[in-house]
Amino acid sequence: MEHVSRREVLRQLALSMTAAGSGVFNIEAARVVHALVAEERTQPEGYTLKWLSPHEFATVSRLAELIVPADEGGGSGVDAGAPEFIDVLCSQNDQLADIYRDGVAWCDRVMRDRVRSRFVEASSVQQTTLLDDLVVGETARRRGALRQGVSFFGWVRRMTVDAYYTSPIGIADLGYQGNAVLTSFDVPVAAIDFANRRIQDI
Amino acid sequence: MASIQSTPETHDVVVIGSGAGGGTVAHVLTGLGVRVTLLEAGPLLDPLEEFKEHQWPYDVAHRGAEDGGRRYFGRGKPFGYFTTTSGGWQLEGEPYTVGDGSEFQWFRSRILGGRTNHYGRLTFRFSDYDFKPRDRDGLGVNWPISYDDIGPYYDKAEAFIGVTGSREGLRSAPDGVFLDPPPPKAHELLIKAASERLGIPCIPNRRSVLTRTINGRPACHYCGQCARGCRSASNYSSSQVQIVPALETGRLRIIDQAMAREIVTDGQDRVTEVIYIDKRTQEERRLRCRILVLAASACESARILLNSTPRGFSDGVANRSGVVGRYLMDTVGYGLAANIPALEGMPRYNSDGAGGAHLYMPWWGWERQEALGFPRGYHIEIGGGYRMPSVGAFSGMARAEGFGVGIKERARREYGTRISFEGRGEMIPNADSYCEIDPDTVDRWGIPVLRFHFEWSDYERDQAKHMAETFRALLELMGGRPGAPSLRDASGISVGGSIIHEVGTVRMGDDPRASALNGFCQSHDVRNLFVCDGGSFVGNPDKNPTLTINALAWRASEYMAEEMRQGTI
Repeated sequence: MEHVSRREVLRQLALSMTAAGSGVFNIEAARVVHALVAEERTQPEGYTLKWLSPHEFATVSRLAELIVPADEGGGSGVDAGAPEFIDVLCSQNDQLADIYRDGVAWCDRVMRDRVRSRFVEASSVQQTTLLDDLVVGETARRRGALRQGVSFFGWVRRMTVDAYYTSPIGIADLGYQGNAVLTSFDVPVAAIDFANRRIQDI
Repeated sequence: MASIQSTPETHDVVVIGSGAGGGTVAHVLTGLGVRVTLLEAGPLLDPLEEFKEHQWPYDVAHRGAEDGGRRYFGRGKPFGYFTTTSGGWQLEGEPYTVGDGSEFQWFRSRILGGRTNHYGRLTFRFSDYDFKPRDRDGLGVNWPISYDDIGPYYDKAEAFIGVTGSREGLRSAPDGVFLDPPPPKAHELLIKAASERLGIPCIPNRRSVLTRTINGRPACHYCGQCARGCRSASNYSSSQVQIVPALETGRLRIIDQAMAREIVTDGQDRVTEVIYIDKRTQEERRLRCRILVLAASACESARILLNSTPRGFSDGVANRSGVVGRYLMDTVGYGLAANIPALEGMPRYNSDGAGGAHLYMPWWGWERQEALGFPRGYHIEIGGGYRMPSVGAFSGMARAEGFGVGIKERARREYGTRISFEGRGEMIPNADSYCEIDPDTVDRWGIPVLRFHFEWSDYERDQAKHMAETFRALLELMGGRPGAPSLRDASGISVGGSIIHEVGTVRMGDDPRASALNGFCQSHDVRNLFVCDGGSFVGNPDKNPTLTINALAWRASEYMAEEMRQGTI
């Protein structure tokens, strides 16, 4: 979209949001703006790191891609902005920042022990093997040397999944169609028919 | 602090609190030509600032996890970032305490409109039998009024605020003045079928949401976000629906950031002044009044009364009966949920609707209580549908899947298939549940705080057990496999206060030795003092209290205006 029209969209959106008591909200304009913001984010200069180092950001990005990979239904955790989400929150919370700083260091240390490279530079198979070990560790009675990694992985997964499903692509993947302004509420016949067929089984 | 200032002006009616009770009093009295001064302990409400209606999670960098991911550390806003609670279970500098061995939670909203800005908008009339519980089963106490006394005020309140519903002729859920209800959502058709299979009626929900334009307020636009507040005032909140029109009469004055502290009397059983703290300056101020209405919420009103001990009222103003603070009740809560595989593959659609469920199950066992083994009843609120994805919603599922594409596939399959049931049941008042002044603790304004004591009895625990069995049966009938109940405690029953239906601390009654108020919410001891919040409740039937607070306050206001006209008060 052209820059001029983008500015125009933003202006209209701002207007609709300040229309006191009108109850009118320009959802379409909001959608367009968010699509534009998402587009900008994919450009390398579109985001300035707030807290994570470039290496930590790259590690978190790779983890986000492994946890929520792209498929035919939608993009990846990275496409959904999970690394930026994590970076922003870390910049606001020392406790979370420590979790990520120590967690990335843990991944690198373990990967060095295993294959003499940092996590991001390991092969996909090596990375996936580590995550498999961590998933096994989650349900294991004794986590042993994996304890810190299991905890960190839980954080990355929770925040990546949250970032994905609260992003435009995750919301589209699920098929959520609401947050709209309607003049009447109707349930489509196809959904009613579906429910009525299921009722037969009760 | 505290340079004491006195305003020479005498205010006709001073109302403390701007929620369902205070908003109704302000609206009705100003409409009858009476001048009202309203004290609110919080700020005025700016819907544009306060209401996050229509926002997407990605409109904020934290997506709803809140700054620094506070939510992940258990320090998030109650009910989520996007709701408009303006309050919480704990307020900074305004503590409350709980007696040894007791559990109680007290939710307070400090803002114009109070908790009506975000509540569930469920709008149920009490049944005729709810007013005479002792006649029915020998438990609790009868109200001094009957359904016939309050019926006309239910009519007025419903017609004004707008309530959806259908005429069903059920004794447990009396019909009212209804707007057309929205149609059932698709998953609710399945629930209704299961419910009816078990002999439980499942009927259109009764909620104060407009399905057509009335009283100058536009119809609902079906964004489903009532809990975020509604900028178009298409649902009920006292702030937008009652206080705005009251202001338009020119007879309402609002003093915000005003924390009521105590009541002053004249030595002859009349209120003369109320003392409050101006939170902006921390100064103590006084307002002279002809009539004082407490509508600060049941417990806060009890606190003000108990903290006021002028000559002649050593146990608190309007408390010669000793019942102020006693017989505290909440609603019995129990919840259970399960994924329903039968809903997998349903064609997606926008199921937001009018916020909340479009159907509910009123109590069905009132004619066979003895066979059930517990007194009184409950209604069932239902949850489900394709809800706006939010932080945390997929965490459990993701953990179960590990990592990778499996997470996405499972989310696509299971999204919108989760059905939940929340029971809301009647508590019988008991002597072990009460609030009192804590002699050792004051809040940041130096005002002594409340200490709570709360006990469920077997009546409530047996009822919660019945909820558990019913919800399990419903979920299993639909093919679900429910897990653990959503509320803690070994029996699954809710923690006292956590349903936010606390009532009963300044109860009404015919006998001044056993009640604080008469049937018009007027103090037996102090004739120019009224309590128009849930404090006046004698019982706490399973129906959510807001509509009855509205109706009692409406009735009390008309009575007040008439007494003022006649010069009686």
